[in-house]
Amino acid sequence: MSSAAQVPDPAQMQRARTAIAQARAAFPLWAATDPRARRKGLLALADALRADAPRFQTLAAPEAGAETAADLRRAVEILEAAAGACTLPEGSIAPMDAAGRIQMQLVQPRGVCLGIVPAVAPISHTVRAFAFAIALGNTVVILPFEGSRDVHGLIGQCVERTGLPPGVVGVVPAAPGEGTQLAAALIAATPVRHVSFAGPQPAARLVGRLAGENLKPMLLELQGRSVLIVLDDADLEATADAVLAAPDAALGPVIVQAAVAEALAANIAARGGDAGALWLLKVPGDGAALAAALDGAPAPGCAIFSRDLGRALWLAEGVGAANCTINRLPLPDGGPAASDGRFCGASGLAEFTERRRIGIDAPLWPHQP
Amino acid sequence: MQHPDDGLCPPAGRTGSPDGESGYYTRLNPADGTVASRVPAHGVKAAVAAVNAAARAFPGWSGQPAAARRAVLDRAAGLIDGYAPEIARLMRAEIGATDDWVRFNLDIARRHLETAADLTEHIGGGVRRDAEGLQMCFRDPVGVCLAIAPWNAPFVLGMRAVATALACGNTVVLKASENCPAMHMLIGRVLAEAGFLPEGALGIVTHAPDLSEEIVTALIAHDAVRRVNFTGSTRVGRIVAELAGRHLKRCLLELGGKAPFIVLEDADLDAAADAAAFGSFFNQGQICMATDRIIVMEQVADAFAQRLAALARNLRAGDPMLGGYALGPMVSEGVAQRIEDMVADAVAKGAMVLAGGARRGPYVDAVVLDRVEPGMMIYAEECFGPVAAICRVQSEAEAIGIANDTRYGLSGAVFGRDIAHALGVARRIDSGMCHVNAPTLNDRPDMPVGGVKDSGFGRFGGVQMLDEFTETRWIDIARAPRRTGFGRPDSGAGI
Repeated sequence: MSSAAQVPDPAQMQRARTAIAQARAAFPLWAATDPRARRKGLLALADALRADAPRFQTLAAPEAGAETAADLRRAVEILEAAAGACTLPEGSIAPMDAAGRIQMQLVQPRGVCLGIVPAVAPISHTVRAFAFAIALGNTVVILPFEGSRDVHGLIGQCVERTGLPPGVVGVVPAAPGEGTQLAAALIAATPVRHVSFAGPQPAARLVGRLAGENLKPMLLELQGRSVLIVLDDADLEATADAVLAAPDAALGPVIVQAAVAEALAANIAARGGDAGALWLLKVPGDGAALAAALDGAPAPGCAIFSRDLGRALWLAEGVGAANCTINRLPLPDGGPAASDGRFCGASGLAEFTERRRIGIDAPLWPHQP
Repeated sequence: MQHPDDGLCPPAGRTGSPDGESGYYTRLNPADGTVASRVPAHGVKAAVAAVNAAARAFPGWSGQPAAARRAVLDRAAGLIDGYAPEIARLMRAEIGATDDWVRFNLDIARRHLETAADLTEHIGGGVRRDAEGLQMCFRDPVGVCLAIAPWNAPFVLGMRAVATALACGNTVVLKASENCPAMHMLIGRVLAEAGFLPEGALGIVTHAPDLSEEIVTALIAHDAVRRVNFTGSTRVGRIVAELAGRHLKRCLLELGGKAPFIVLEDADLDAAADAAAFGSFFNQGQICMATDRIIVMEQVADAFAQRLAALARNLRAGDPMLGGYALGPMVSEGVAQRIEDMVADAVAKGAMVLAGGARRGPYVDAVVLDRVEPGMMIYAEECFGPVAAICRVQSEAEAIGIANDTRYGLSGAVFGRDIAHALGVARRIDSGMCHVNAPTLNDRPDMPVGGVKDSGFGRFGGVQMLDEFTETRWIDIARAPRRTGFGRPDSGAGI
């Protein structure tokens, strides 16, 4: 969060309130919309984003062309996965009680969801914050926490062009530094029933505190540096390649088993890298590697390098990172869209719905004479 | 292939005789020919009466809340220890089981009951609200289930044939195997003692061997029987499936197997030999998931074969009553004879005997055959005996080819230190189950157990098993009485 948080100008606050009001107004109809129509809307949006690839590219810095392409590809994957989820949500009927009564749990959309998105990978992060939510019948307001950019405007245009009803996805434009004030106002707004956030830890704390104060269910995805664990049987050449390919901002400590620490450094140097610039932690064995990973700050991602899949799997279960990969970096490619954190897939289904109990007080046994 | 004994054909040799006059059937001990058990020799009339009783019990039992059904199954699980001495005595007497095999049966049968008890929490259904109304899917009990269980793992396979069916609110008729009728009757006693089963909710039909086909035919044809589950040979499974098909009854079949066991170049050979010995020789190989075809990369074949032969030489067959033997008698002397013939056929065609090989009456010591190749009886047929058959291969592609060169597809195993690689091989084996660095014999009530191809279809175990014993029924409530406008030219839109 920026320390120089500005108070947004009144017109900006008004726009935020309008976005919430539109999302609130759109919700009942969107929730009742045939899932097939929602599915069609999501697929149309995926097509619109794909068609606009050249414009997304012109908004990005020339050296970030490949990154933008990957960001856009991921956004499209997420939309397609979300389209497949529209017809999925199913509640449950509990086994009958002694009186033959049934009790069911209906799965319903929550209402207006607020998605607070970071500046990195803006296309996929923005799309991820609303894709499964609207697939399941919610409406969404997006707040770019670190200031909105042209790319958010372009996503908004794609949404409009797709013909999704007004208010289903709204973007509140924010000037740099305004995020804090706008977040506070939006989180407190009565119609907002769920808050999601992806970004760095200080801002996450703020969002978590505000959501807690307002008793809003929240999904916080803390972004930070990934931990690398290099075991003594790792393919050191492939590991060195992965270390050098990792963006500086994404790479945290490299926990390496002492027996291969020098050889890893040599492999990095041989590729023109500077092993001295890395945060290397030498450990004696698997247990010590696990302890070192658990001792450090909670890492969102962890990559384990080892030729022994069994060994790597045991460690992966233990490290506690939300996203763990074996013999490759956890980010940025992440894996299939449906497995993207808690925003998508089965977790997304649970996150963006709520369960309501309905009991019927009548004996409803089957097969009774 | 002619199965040793599959419930429909009379067992060979001296293992049993109908005792029609007294209305009893006597099962003889395969080890010494003494009387193992004496049970009622029911006929078709009694079998039909058992189904009728189960049908009458169905409303009462299916009307129990899940918690009550759960309690019966949990109590039954708790009773098993008390029955252990009797179970051990009967398993030894009826099928020649070793102490290890008895322990395995007690443990896994207990877990079947506990897992079935847990499944009662999952028998409800799903519900969805949409523009048309409330769409409910109920998982309802189906009615009377017919269970046909084999003799080889009498307590485990008998219990799993009835436990989940009862958990789901069905009533059950268990057609006992003529080789272990008292063991199958004991399943009924355990569940009855657990309490609250209404009269007829679990019927057990014992019979003389010559009536088997007639009784099975009548049971499957009975209108009240809604599902059939069968564990046994592929030969009889096909007959059961045909009968079930004719009467449009859904059936679950777990049939024969020819489980491949692949040893890759980088395998831990000691662990592989240990698992292969367990898989090939436990219960004299009379297990559907037994390790039936050991496929070893040539580079490690000598070292692996030596280790396996060394283990096998210590595995001798003898009377389980005397103790000290790893293997008991085969279920009948005829079956032992068949094993001897298969080994002789392989040797005549070039295989080498590294351990065992001779037969003493119903007893066959653990056999290790090396250089088994296509064309030998033992290469193609389900062995169902204590024979470890090693096929040597030059490449992994050849290994997978041989693993899949069978009409069976039940279990399998792959041994290799590079787990990612071994997993890749396991995924290419065409079977219902495959285990990496673990034996082919792995029975877990909480996992889906079953096969593909001639090993059958459907799954015992896991939540997948719920489908086998419940009917999913879609019941919806329209948001408002729905008018279709049918027949009125101005409003066809409602249809």
